[in-house]
Amino acid sequence: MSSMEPIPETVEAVEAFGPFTIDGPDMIDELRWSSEMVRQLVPECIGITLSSTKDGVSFTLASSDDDVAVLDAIQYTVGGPCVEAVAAEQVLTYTQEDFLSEAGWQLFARATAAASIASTLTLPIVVGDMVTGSINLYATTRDAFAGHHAEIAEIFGAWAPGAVTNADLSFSTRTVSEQAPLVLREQVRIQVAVGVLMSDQGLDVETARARLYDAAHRAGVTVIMVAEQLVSDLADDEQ
Amino acid sequence: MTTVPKPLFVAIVDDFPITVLGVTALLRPFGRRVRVAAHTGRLPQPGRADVVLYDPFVPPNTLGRIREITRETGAVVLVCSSGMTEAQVVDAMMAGAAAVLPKSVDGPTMMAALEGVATGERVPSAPSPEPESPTGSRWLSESGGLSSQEAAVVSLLVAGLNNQDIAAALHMSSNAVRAHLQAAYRKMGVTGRTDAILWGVKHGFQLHAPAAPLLNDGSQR
Repeated sequence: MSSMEPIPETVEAVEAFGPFTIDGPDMIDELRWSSEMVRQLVPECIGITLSSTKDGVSFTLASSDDDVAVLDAIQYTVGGPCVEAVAAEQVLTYTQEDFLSEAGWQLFARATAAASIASTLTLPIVVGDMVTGSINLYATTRDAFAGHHAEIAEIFGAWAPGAVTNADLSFSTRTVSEQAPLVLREQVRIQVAVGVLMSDQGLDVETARARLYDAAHRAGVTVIMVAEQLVSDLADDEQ
Repeated sequence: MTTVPKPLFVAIVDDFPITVLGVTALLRPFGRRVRVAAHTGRLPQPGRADVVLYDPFVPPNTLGRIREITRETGAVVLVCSSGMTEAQVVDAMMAGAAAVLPKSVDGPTMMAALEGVATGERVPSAPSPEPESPTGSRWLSESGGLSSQEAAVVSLLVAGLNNQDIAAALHMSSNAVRAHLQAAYRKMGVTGRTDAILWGVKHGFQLHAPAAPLLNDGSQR
């Protein structure tokens, strides 16, 4: 089985808006190393996604094997990985039967079966009492991660008691990861617009941000549209 | 038959007479390789100068005139000034300068820079050295101890540029940009790009209006 590689959008996000770590190696190198460590424990693992709560973006490494390519055709989405287990301090397991209890999930179940994702593991990354992110791992066999929660958590510095299994059989985090470059680009634009308001109007950051969102709300447009206009006006003024 | 290389024509636009004399003296050892002419209140005719030496930081000169000079003369603009901070170097580059040199530069360096920009080579730009640049020193101090390259990278980050555009503007690789940012983030005490933008605003980094090509990051307007 081939090694896992970052999906194109993850590469794009890191190259355009990285770094995402202030110490140590590049995040992609770190994920590659971690994925190899996981492969030694769980050879059936074919995908890993790191999600950041703070930035609201995800980064995915996936096997380039043919069976994983099938996933590209799947656009079914379910709710993101659950972090309820963080509070409950127990391992939650969603079985295939749970999903099939609702008729709407039947198609989803077939799709995931076709895509060869048979089990997933979600581990929260907790700093202090805050969930700062999560790691999702995807494998081609049922129970692939059983008995390995603690070891895998250690590889990623995650919290094993907060593990959730089979909560993301659709590999929805990959779809989220594909949006990372766009999300990051918009975050930067909005922050520059906040800076413009701070500089021009002598506002503190909270007031400037509130004013930006309020302006968007009143105008019935998105915040990014207002931000783009502010930055564009600044460019026009200086020319 | 021996061919005589065409000399490089350098125009000094709107600068003090002492600067003209100084540049002429600096370049005299290079004999026929270079010709220097001074222009005050007017620009050289199109095609008459290869390089224009211009100091946008001497009033009433402006950064905005750099592109105008290039457009009207067809020459590349080499900014040469004194007391420049790293931020002003970035300003000048973003305003269209081919390179930026301090007025403390020596003759061989000046000659190499002139010939370099005239042939389209990338010529390293530099701010004024510390003893000549009290404002630069203060700016660095207020910038949390960032190195000159870190400060330049952060300056463009604050303007909203992505890594590739920063790399293009500063003539460095994207990997180098990320390395400078990682070091800068540590010194700034921030954990990411959006925090760094606010840090920059609070520390007096200007929210530049980048030139159009620098905004070409694929975003939709």
